[in-house]
Amino acid sequence: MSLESIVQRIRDAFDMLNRRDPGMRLNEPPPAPRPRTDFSTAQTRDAPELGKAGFADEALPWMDAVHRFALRLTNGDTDQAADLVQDTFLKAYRSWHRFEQGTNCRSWLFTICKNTHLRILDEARTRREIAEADLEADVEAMGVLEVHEHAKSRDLDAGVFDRTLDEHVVAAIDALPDEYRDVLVLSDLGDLNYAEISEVVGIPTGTVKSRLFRARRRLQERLIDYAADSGILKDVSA
Amino acid sequence: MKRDMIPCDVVMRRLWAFIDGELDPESADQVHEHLEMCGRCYPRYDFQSAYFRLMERVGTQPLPDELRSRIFASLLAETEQG
Repeated sequence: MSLESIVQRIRDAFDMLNRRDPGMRLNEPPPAPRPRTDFSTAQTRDAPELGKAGFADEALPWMDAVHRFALRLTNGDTDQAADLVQDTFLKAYRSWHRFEQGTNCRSWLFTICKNTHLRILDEARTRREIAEADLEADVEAMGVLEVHEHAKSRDLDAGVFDRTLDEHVVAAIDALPDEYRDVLVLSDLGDLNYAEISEVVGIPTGTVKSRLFRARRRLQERLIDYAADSGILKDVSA
Repeated sequence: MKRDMIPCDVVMRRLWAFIDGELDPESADQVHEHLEMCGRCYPRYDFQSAYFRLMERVGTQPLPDELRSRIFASLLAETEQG
């Protein structure tokens, strides 16, 4: 490349810089092609016409700072951080009437950002817990097979339940740990469905299932053992 | 065209939910179809049916007072909220 062409390229570059945003003034944003309310892309310079006085001047200049803060909170996850910044500014805008003019807007935004992040973490943890409860319920559901095998190993069939004494069942239910007894009573004696039990006991339906299935297995095994040990079937059928 | 039957272990995993009436219609049909045909799974279903007959009999007994109170309390709280 010749010296002349290099000089020309530098000149072109200067020309281009000088032509950029010729109408821009410090306190006068250029007209936007259409009003935007997407805060994730809004910049102070081309901020949309916002209905809430002062928000564009006070809050939007802190977008970069909030974004850096969000990146730290999310361990550098750019997608999560972007969502977090968007949520933060959306919430800030909605509750702008609560911001006290003259106080530190940056701190206020950081507080919203931090609280929003904590809420997202809580929601993720709840989703994980529900998924784990469902997985556990799937495992506990196999109790249906295991109690039957247990009955067969003690030479008993379905007749064991037809001949079990009511009062022994009540005693066996009472002997269950509280968290199992409650769901079992509500389901098998109270005829509530999983969703209704979830509401009454205040646990996710996945947990209702895992507790209920475990409770049924424990109760049935106890009744089978009682019938086999006491020889009650022989007495009744004799 | 006849659908393939779902395997026994899937039926076992769904059996309690099937008896509880908590399966979606398609899954319930699959379990039903399997139980009609399977000589291994039907006795397990029969065994559980006997358990639920027993519970129905026992179910005429009143709920424990403490649990009844808790249910009433939760319903009351719901009413006050709503």
